Amino acid sequence: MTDEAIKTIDEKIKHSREREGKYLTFVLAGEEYGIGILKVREIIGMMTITTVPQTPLYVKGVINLRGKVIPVMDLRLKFSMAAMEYTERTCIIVVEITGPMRKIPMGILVDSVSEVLNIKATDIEETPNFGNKLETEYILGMAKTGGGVKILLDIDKVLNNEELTALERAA
Amino acid sequence: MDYEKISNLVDRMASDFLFLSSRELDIPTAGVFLNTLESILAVAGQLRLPPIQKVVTAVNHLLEQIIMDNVRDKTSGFDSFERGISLMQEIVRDYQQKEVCEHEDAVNRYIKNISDLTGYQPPGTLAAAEESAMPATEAPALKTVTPILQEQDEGLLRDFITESFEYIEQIEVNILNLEQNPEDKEFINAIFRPFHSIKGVASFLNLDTIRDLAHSLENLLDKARNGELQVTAAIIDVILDGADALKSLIVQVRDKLDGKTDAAEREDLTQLLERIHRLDKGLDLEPAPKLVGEILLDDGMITKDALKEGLKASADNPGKKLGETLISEGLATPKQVTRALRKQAEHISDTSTIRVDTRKLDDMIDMVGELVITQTMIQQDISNQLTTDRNLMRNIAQLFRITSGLQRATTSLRMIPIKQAFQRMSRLIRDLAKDSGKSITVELVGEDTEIDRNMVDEIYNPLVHLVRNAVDHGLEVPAARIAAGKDEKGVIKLKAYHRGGNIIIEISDDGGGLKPDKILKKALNNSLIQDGEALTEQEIYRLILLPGLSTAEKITDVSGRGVGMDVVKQAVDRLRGKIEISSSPGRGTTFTTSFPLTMAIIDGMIVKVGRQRYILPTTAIRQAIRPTRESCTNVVGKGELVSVMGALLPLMRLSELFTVQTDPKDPWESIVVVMEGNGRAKGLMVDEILGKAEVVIKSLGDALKNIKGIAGGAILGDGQIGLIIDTEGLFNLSESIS
Repeated sequence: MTDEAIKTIDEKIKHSREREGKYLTFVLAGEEYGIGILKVREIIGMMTITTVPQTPLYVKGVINLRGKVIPVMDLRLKFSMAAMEYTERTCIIVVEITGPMRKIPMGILVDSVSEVLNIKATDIEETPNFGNKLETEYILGMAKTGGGVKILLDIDKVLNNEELTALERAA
Repeated sequence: MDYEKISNLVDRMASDFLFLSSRELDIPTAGVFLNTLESILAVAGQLRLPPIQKVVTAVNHLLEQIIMDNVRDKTSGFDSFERGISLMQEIVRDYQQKEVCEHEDAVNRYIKNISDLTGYQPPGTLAAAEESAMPATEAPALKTVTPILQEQDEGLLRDFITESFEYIEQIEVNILNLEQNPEDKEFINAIFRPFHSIKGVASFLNLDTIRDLAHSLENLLDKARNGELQVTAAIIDVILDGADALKSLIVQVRDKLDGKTDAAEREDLTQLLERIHRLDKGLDLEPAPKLVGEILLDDGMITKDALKEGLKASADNPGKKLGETLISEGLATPKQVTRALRKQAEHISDTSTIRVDTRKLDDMIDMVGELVITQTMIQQDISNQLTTDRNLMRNIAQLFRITSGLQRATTSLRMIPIKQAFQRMSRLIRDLAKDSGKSITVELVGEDTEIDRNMVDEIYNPLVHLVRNAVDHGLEVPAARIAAGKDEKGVIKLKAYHRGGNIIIEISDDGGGLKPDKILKKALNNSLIQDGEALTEQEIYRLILLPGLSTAEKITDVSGRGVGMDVVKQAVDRLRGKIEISSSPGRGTTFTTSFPLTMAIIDGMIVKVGRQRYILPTTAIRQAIRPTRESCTNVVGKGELVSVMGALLPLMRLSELFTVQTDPKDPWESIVVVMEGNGRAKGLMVDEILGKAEVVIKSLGDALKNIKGIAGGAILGDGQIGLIIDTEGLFNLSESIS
């Protein structure tokens, strides 16, 4: 094996080590997703969302989180899935997104929250190439667990910088 | 003891004096001062405060002499009066804090000063006896210091002192970090910056010694930062000593400001500077141990000679500490030594105010807001349960009182009265008047109007510019005023008041007024307008807000380069404020500026559109009507119009602008709120008016700022968010859509 190859493998191992850890998993249109637990600030039940005009469709509006006004985005709409009526199990996961300027607290609407999973590096596989059509930048990897495959999200990249700045400029 | 009464009296006198329009006293004003002095004397007698009594008697005498016109040098008479007042303030403050007076010397000096001026003889011989006991060395020290201090704004110096203590604190904290990680550039930077700031301000204030010391320390750190020098224990030591020396220099400045000139000669800094210099050159030194005597010297408690003697004596007495020796040899009083030791131990800081990170404040305000909402909900729940537990009801009522008090207190935390800014401005006017040879009376109205702490600083600069303009261009020179049949003295009026969610600040002068023809000519010359354009008077006045238009014939260093008013306009715009000009020839000009109270509670009307609630700022609302079928017109393809009191106004449908789902309605089935802003008026169609509310504007966060037509969000009584409408933005939005 060449040095070059060893280096690549080393990097890969390092990369997957970095992804190892605890993930909060949730359901979105029947699929299981995970967000790094360190990004999650809290989980709250569905509450009244005040619609904000002139924002992208996936921005549902703002909520009052103990006196703080934070935006809420519907992950289904963001991922271009069919919208669904909110149910008893619908949750808002409050995450902290690293924006271009500073950390932005944001709520994410998901169908339901499942559990916190400890995912080992060895269980994480690289995102397969879906072809150019699909943007996979915001997928950290795929985790194989007993129950099936979970899509690990890099929540910072779900909203890419352009979208964040667009939000800041508020289209 | 209760010093509040006396403190109030003295403070009232100080502020009366500050607002004395000129350095002249008419008999009625002097009478007020005399009355106040009498009350102070009475209270001081009750409280047994001889220093105050002494000063009051002296000031009283001085005032009488001024009124009788017996004081030849009026200016210094006035200065003495001013100093007397501030001396009283100092003494009272001392009593309040420590129950002792440390100003005996200052009092005596003051009395001497008065007697020099007016031939005043203090009652009794006590003062005279103490006066002779005064050390002879003080007089020269005072002479060299007072003129420097007098020239400068005392407020600036005090700010500098407070800031510097904070800076030095930062330095001390970070230097300990640096000691642990000598390689860390971050820590070096963290020490470098405060030194740099101290240097900057000190040089601005002509505090040369402080500047030089800070500068050389900064140089040293710069080298360390660039890797030219290794951070060694010696360097850390010298920086710490330097910070200590800076601190004591600043304490000296403060003492002098407080009239405490009993400090002995200045500390000799040459040794320290030499150490810095040698380190700077890369000559390493052994860290010098700090001597006990040095501390005493630093504080100016003993002279160098006395220290030398004390050291000699303590060498003969090895069992004793230096402080004890100094006391036993009579070189320092026990009080001085203990005070020095206490000073060494305690943090020198001003405790009357503290600085708090605004984020912490905001968090607190948020949480209290939530507390109130939750509390209301609980109250609701309990009253729904028809409970008859009177104890519970009483406790709930008590809780309600406490939470609403808490809310008031927290919201007021960020608010300060505009007084301070006004006072700074009136001082500025006085200085400017002196420079420009005009005599000016300043009238202040509504100084207690409260405004967000941050806004004060923001609005200060544009306002100062307007004030300068008023002094420089607004008011005529005395000769011209007399010729125009006006009082020789010009009047500049600063007025502040709240109007809805805005603070309005008016700056008016009673000068010659704006000259529309002159402005027009200038604007034509600069091709800012086309010939023959029909402009209203208001529009002509607004021209002076354009860049490159100054009608001042004479360019002074105050204003008049044509870059003034447009800068003001920009600054006001940036703060989302407004500026209006009104003027009448020969009678004066008024600039009316209005600024939003960003963080403040605004008055709003809650309206409902579909299922959404919005808050319309009351300031922007002219009226709300339910239009008749006849008053509505639909210009096909252009938009709807509604006739309100004879005027046809464009109609905006909020549901369309904000794409809110609602049942389609006709204007005569709903309510039209007539909103105005920037000289325009439009009708806004809403479903329902829910009521009025005072709400706190909250930003929608970084991700959702600058949404057209939305100024922010507010948490309503039920804990949900209502969006606050930005009138101007909404108007623009409606125009860009249609």
